[in-house]
Amino acid sequence: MENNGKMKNVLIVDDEKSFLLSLLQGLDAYAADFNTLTAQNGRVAVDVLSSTKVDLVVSDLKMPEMDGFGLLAHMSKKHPNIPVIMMSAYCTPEIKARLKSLGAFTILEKPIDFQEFVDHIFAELNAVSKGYIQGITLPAFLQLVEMEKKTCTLRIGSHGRKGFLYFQEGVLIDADNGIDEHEKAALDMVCWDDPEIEIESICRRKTRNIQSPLTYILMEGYRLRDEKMKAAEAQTSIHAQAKEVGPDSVDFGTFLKEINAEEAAGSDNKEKTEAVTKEDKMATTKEILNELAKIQSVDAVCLVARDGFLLDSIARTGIDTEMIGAIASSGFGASESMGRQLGKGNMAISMIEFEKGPVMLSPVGDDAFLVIIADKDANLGMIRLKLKKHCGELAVAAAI
Amino acid sequence: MAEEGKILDIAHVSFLDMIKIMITLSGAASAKGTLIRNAIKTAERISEVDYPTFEDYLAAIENATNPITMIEGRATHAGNFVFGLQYCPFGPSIKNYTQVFEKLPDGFADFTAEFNKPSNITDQFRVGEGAGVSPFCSVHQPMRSAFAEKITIGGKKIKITQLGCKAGSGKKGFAEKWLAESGVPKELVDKILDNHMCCYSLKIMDA
Repeated sequence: MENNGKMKNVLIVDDEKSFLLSLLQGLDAYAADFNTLTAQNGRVAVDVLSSTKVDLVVSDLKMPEMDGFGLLAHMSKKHPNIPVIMMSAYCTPEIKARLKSLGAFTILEKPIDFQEFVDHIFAELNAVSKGYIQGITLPAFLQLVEMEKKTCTLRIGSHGRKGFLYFQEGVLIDADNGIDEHEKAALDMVCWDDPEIEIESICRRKTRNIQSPLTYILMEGYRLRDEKMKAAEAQTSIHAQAKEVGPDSVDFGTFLKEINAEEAAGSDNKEKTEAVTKEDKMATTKEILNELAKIQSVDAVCLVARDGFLLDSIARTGIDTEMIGAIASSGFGASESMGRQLGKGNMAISMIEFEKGPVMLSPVGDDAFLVIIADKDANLGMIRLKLKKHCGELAVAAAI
Repeated sequence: MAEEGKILDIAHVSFLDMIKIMITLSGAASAKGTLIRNAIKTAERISEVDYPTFEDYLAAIENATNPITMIEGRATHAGNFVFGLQYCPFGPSIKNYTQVFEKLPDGFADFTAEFNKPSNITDQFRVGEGAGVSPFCSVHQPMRSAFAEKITIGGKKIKITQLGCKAGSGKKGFAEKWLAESGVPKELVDKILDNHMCCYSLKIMDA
């Protein structure tokens, strides 16, 4: 856990003294791994951040003076690369999963499960060590505002541009980016990179001029941005090389781009997959499985024939891959049957989210499928990307 | 005098319909895997047995103490370690079912095609590859091969290879891959299937 010979610092921000005290007592057992600093509200945390090198911030959302949103907004401007874990008493499993799937910061439900809390601290600090730093993304921040039903005005700055988003009890009611207003402005702003966020705890607009839900705005905003980028590329005839998707290049935009591309261009994706296949067909099955197993928090990768018999696997000790293959075969077949029944076309990925992490199934050729077993810290966007990248070449390597 | 009704064996009827439901819910490949796995699990439960000589093995078929005979009935040794089985062990089930429903459930043809496709598991048990003529072959053939793994002759392991099979309609299926590998002439298998429903070979492995 050492970083350049210095102990890492974890700053915990919460106004409940007794809660802070119990956390400190529990974390005493990890004194050799990291230092624990505390602050009783966002304002104090800002002071600590200005004077001390902090490697991870764990913060409550509801606090006096400056709450968690204020702290996040400050960090978006001054410390955008420090990872954050938020704590909330109002977090549903669905919201947790959604924030996680966005590659956003982790959110823990109060009351805190201490062991889960410690696991997340280690996961975030390890991610920093490996260069997987994820700062505060605007989509994640907005989802949090929606989840907490917060009333506020957000002033967003990004590379010389500025604009305002208005929330009334968690509902995005209006937006203004200086050029456009309402939904059009919101669709533009949600894609701004490196946002600097300022938050004011009143909503300066009273009339609802945006009717679409936030999720739609986020999805549509990124789709429109991608369209613009493609058009620009076509105009300048720049044929960009397909970029290797590495752990530190995955962000919300990339994730949404993948989803949209998958939904909108099935045949196009197939062509791309085939192209990748031809280029990389020298890779062996084991090498490809290894590549997938290297994704952070992935516990097992199993290549399974559709009849449920295991073809190959890489798994941590204790996972019965033979049995997983047999069980997953029914799940995979059932997912395909459901797709057929609903007229949904071919299956791309099936995911089952468990309390302790997801299991993802994806077809490989006509006669096999992959099972990815991950723990709860897994970056689902990353796994999806890697599956899309590797399933085609795996079919060739395994001659399926 | 009242007309005599039909009494069905509900286990037979349920089994056939269950296969159809499995195909519908999870697809033919998954259903095939489940049935083969079931056959393997059944074989795991029998005790290992050694016959001092091949003649002792044949005698155990005659007196129905051979584990394979216990699941499929008496096979006939046609010479050169090639066997014919006169009756399909699933014959009573099929007869029972078709007494009432006239024809077997839909989807069985797809399932049979799936069983005949090359796969690791059918390679391991040397079954399928064209020798499947109904979904029941995917239970019967692997189960026989799996049972064979529990049998030794003179302390040597044996392997059973499926060569061909005949459907109730009379249509014959041949496992070209296994015919080539075993060296048994197809004409011989064809002739055996004239009077039998199933044909396989046995090989005593070198120690």
